[in-house]
Amino acid sequence: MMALIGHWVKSLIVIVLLGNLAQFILPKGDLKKYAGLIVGLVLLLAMVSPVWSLIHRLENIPASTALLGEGNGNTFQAVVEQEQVGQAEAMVLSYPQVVSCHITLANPHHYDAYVKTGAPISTQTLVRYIQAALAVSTGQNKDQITVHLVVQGPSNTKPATQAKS
Amino acid sequence: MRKGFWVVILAVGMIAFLSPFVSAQSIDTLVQRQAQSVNTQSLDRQVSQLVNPYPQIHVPTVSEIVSDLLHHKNPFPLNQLFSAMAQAIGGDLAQEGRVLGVIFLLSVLAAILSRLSESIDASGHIAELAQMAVVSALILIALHSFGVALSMVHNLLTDVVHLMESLIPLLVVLMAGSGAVASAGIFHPIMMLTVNLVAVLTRSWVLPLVLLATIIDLVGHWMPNFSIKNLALLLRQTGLTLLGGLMTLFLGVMAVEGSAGSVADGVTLRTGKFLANTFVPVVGKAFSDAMEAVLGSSMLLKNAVSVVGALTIIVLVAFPLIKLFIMMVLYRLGAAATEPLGVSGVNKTLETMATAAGWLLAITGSVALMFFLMITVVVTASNGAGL
Repeated sequence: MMALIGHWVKSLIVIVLLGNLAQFILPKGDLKKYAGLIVGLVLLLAMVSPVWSLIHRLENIPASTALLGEGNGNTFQAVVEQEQVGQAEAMVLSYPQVVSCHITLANPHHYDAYVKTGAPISTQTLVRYIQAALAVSTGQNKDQITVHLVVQGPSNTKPATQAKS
Repeated sequence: MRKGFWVVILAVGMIAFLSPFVSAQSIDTLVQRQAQSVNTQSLDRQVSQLVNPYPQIHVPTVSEIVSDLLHHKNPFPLNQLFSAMAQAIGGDLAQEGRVLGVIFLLSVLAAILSRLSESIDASGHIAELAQMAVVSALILIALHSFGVALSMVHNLLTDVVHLMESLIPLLVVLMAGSGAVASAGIFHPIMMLTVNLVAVLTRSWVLPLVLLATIIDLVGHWMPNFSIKNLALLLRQTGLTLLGGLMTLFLGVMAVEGSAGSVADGVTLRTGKFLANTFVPVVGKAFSDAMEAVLGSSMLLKNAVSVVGALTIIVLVAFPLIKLFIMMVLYRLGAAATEPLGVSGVNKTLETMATAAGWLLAITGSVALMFFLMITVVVTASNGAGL
C-alpha cells in the first residue's frame, strides 16, 4: 500500500519536473500558455487516476464476494456446505460407539451418510441423530432433511439402509 | 497430658511473637535471593548494548538498583546524564552549524548571481536559471541531512522495540510474582500488541508519509511553476492523524485495562490473605505475613526492572531529540537570515526543512512517550494490588 503511494507520488513529481522544464524551454507566447494548460491537465489525470481505478474496481465486484476477495459465489457456497457437513460429522462422532463418519450432500435436503460403529447401534436413532446434527449445522428444518444411512459395524455387516422423508 | 498442653501453648506463642521479626530480618536477603533467581542478565546485556554509543552514561543493572534502593542510595546520578547531554548539544551544534554555513554561502552566492544577471540580461531568464541551480544544490544538502535524521529515528524505533521486547516478559513475570496475576494476564498481550503496532505503523506509514510530503514541498520550492503542495499537506495530515489516533487509542485502553486489572488483583490478594489468616490454624498469621514479604520484595524487583527500562528509554531518546531540536532551530535561523537576501526559493526551502525536522521531533517524542507511559502505567497499576 505504502509502496503504491510512493510510486504514485514519484510519478507526480516526475510530471511536475518535466512540466517545469517545458515551461523553461518553450519561448514566450501562446504556445507556452497552452503547454502549461496541458501539463496541468496531465497532472490532474495522474493524480486522480488511482482513485478512479479504485472506484471502478469496487463497482465491478459483486456484493456477495466484496468481503471474501476473489472468486465467484458458487465456490463460496461450496465452502459453506462443506463446513456445515463437517460440523455435522463432528457432532455425529460424539455419539457413543461411532468410530468414523462421512456425510456427503447428494442433492438439496438429501444427504448420504457412511458410519462405522464399534458396537451394534439402532440405525433408527442414529438416523434421527444425524438429522438433528444436520439441522443444527445447516439451520434447515429437521423434517425436511432426508438421510440415506449406510452403517458398518461388528454385528450388522450387511449395510442397513433407511430413508426417511 | 497437661505438660503436652503447655508445650503447644508455648510453641504457638513463640511463633506468633517471632514471626514479625523473622519477616523483618529476612527482607534484605529475600530480595537478594529473588534478584538472583530471576534471570535479569539478558535485559542488562541488551541495555548495555543499546547504551553503548554513549560511553559516558552507565545505566545501572537491575541488581545494582535493588541494592541501592535497599541502602537508600541514588542509583542513577542525573548529573552524568546532563553532562553527556551538554556534550551532545555542543557536538550537534558544531556539526549542523557547518551545514548551515555552507547553506549561507550558497544563498549569498545565489543573491549575487541573480543581481548580476539581472543587470546583464533584462529578460530575467538567466537569473531564474541561476536561482534554480543554487536551490537544487541547497536541496541536495538539506535532503542529505534530513535522510540522516530519518534513519536515526528509524534506528531509534528499532532499538526501543528491542528494549521493550526484552523488558516485557521479565516485567510480566515479576508482576505475576508480586500478586498482580490478573494485571499480568491482561497486560501481556496488550503490551506486545501495542509495541509492535506502534513500531510498524510509525516505521512503514507515518515516517514515509512525512518524507514524501517533505519531498513534494521541496520540489515545489525548486520548480515553482507547477506545484502540488496541497497533496503534501494531505499526506502529512494523514500520517500525523494516524499517529494521533494511535496515541489516543493506546492511552484509553491502557487506562481502562489498568484500573480493571488492579481491582481484580486487589480482590484476589485480599481474599487470599483473609483465607490464610482465618482458616489456617496456628501459623495462618505467620503464613500471610511471609506471603506479604515475598510479594513486597518481588514488587521492589519489578519496580527496579521498570526503572531500568524507563531510564534506558530516556537515554536512548534524549540524544536524537536534542539533535532534531538543534536541526530545527538552526534551519529556522537560516530561513530568518536568508530572507533579506531576496532569493525566495532558499528561505522557503530552509523553512520547509525546519518544519520537517519539527515533525520528526514530534513523532519521535510521542512514540517515546507512549513506550515510557506504558512502562510506568503498567507498573503503577499493578503496584496498587498488593497493598
